Amino acid sequence: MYHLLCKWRNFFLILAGILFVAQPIVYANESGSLKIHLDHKVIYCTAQITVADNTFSLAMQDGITVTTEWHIQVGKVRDYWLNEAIADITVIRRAKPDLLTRSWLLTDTSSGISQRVYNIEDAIRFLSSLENFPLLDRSLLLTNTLYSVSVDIKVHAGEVNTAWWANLWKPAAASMQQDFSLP
Amino acid sequence: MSRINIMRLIPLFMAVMLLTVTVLLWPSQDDGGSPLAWVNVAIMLGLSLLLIQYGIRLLREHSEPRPGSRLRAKLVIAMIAMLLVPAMVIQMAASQMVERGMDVWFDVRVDTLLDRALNLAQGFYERVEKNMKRNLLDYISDGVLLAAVSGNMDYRSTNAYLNEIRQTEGWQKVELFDINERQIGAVQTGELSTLQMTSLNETARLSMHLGRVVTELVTRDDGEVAVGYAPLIGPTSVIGLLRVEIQLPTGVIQNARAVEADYRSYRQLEHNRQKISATFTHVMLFMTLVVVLLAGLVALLFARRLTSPIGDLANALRRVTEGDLDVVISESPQDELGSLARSFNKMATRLKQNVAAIEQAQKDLTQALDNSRQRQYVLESLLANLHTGVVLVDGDGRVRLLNQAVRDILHLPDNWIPSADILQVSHGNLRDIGDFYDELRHQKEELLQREFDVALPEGKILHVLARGARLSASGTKFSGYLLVIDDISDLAEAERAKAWAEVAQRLAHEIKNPLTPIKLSTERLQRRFRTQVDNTEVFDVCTKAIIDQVERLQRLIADFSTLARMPQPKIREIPVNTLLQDMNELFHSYQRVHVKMVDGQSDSICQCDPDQIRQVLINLMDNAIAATGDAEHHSVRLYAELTDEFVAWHVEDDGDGITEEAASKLFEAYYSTKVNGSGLGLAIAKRIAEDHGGELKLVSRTGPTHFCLKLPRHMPHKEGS
Repeated sequence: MYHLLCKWRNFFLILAGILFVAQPIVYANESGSLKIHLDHKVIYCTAQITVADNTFSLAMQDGITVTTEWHIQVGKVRDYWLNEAIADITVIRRAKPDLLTRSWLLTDTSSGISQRVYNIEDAIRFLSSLENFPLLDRSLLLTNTLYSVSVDIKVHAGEVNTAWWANLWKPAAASMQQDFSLP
Repeated sequence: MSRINIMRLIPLFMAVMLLTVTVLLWPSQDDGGSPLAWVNVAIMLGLSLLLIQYGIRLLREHSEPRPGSRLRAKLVIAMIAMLLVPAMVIQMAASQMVERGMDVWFDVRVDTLLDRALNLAQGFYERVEKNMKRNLLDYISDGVLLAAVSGNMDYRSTNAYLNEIRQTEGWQKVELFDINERQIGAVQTGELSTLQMTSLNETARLSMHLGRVVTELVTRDDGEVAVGYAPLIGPTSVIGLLRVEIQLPTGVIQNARAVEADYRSYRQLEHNRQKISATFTHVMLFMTLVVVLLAGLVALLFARRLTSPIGDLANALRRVTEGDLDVVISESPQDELGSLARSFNKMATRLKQNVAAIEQAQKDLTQALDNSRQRQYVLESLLANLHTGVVLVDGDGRVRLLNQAVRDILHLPDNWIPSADILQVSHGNLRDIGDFYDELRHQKEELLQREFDVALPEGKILHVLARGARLSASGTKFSGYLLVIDDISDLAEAERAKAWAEVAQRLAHEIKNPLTPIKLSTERLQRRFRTQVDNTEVFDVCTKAIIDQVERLQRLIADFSTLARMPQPKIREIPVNTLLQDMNELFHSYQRVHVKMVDGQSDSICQCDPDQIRQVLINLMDNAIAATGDAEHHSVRLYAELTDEFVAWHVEDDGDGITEEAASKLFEAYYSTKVNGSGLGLAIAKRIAEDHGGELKLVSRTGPTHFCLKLPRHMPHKEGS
């Protein structure tokens, strides 16, 4: 068995290399913006994903539930090594259309707050932007130290498959990163 | 490019095709990044890499591949191709079917139908809301309600009015709130005990804030309720809120929601139409690839099982070709291949036995050949060293073998070679050989012996003894004749000489005895009766003649005796010049005799019997002097020549020479050209020379007449002087 693995090692390495290089080439990420705001106590972020006009509207007008999954990671930048993870936050926002009343029920699953809007632009804005979202307490960070905030946004049209393996191959619609440091 | 090279490129062609298909089916974002798509890509890439690796190995492979590997590859490729073609056809048909099904499912008519159904449902809701809003607009500035909100009505009157409104408008529930969201009154259909206090939500506040009539739908456990909010606008601002509810009919709502759910599902499917198609394609492709992989694996196992005995057989054949006959292959499969393996093992065993037998036979043959060569070598050596001539003739009369001795004896011409027809080459002086062979061939007896003379080209007559035997060995197919030729000239000569010697000795003995009394009687007669005869002259002549003839007869008899009883030479060393000096002193009275000493080699000696050699030289000198007569211009020359091995005495004279006929019989006994010669002088001289191991020969017959006595300077053994 060991001999067999050694014999096919190069083959599998080449195959894995091809797949590793190929997937990022295939999917061109959509762009977005990320800004970090500080006040005297809390660190906020404002993130927005710039998507095509019909990315959300087509599905939402057809009554399809659209969900955006915001995965925010805050880490301490380290040279020659992986960043030190400080915060790992997931925000899920969902817009469920009601075709009979032409309204959309907007739900923030992280906070549990929901609201109904009757304007699709409001629903799209709700889905595509995260405004002044509180990340973490300022006291957790050190001054004059470089930190990195990265946001990966995944867009789901329809019901979200909650199985653990469902999102393994789900590509991110947008990825943003912003470095900051406390003055 | 040869066919083999094209065959070797097939895996690379297949890899390129598979890579092309992989690129065409590369997962796009529309597919949603299906894992199945990536699995398919991985499988196809893996297969492509395998094919590329196999193709490169085939191209780089210069030596003969392992036995059975090509057959195995062909079987696997054939089985995969047999499976791949229908699988691809099925996949294409299924794809077409799915596409057609999709077109049917997402038909425009279905789309329109769903839109209309949704519009109907939406119209129901809109109508309810519109009616509710229109009705609510009538109460925005209702004085009773404003008074109630302002606190100018009692609770009973307020509820009564609200109940009246409810009944008038057909609402199920009516609530009245003041600006502080405090409920002023509330009525509802049914029991009042079930009436519950509800607080205002954001919509209600929004309605109050904006001063607009707002409606909303609220879903509860008992169904859906249309809720309307109408701000009560006082003289200056909103001072209260009228909240009403209409319980929507359950059946209609269920139908409407069902239409909405169906519409949503339909749109969801339509939205995922491309993804569904891609997923179907990927599933089909995955199934095809799995089937191909399984088929390839099964084909590989099957081909390996099938080709393994063939490979073993080919390998065994290669080893047999290289000479390894100990190879044995497995006979396990009880099928045609097993039968083939058993046959091969039997063949190898028989081959091994045959090879062993051949090797043994070869060994025996080699040994026999060696023996034959040894015998042939011995025979050839024997024949080469034989002084007897041997000729082997086969049954067809062709010479198979003849040794050097027969060539030397008979002076055979060049056409006497092996394979020559003996009858054709036996012509001229060799005709007797052919006649002898012909007689041997036609006679019944096995052996034949004849003596006959053969005239040699230089005029010499050779007396040969020919013996022949018929060869017909029973163990061999060879049959022929063996001719043995012996030169018996010397033997015949010796026998003749011996016979003559015996005759001479007997005659000498018989004649010699009466000669002496005759001579003595004649001398007595001469002494006593000479005076008594009348004619003394005649008497003297007669008696002298008798005495001379008797003396002559005595000398003749002495020569006969000498020839018959030639003594053995008494060898001793003597200077050559001594003999020459003796000859010079003996013949110095003749002016024409010139004896020349050996210059610078006065002490050169030779081993010989000086008396016999002196006798030979005297004989030669006497003959030369006799041949020259009294002519003054003729001379006789005697000189000697020395080499390391031989000494040669030369006697030359300028006489009339010797005729050719005389020259041929010169050394025969009793042949003489002189009147009084016995004819034994040169014969005795020749015999002396031969007894010394040398020779006496006539170098030239005339101009000058030249004799040469050639003797070896050193004899093998010498007798004491």
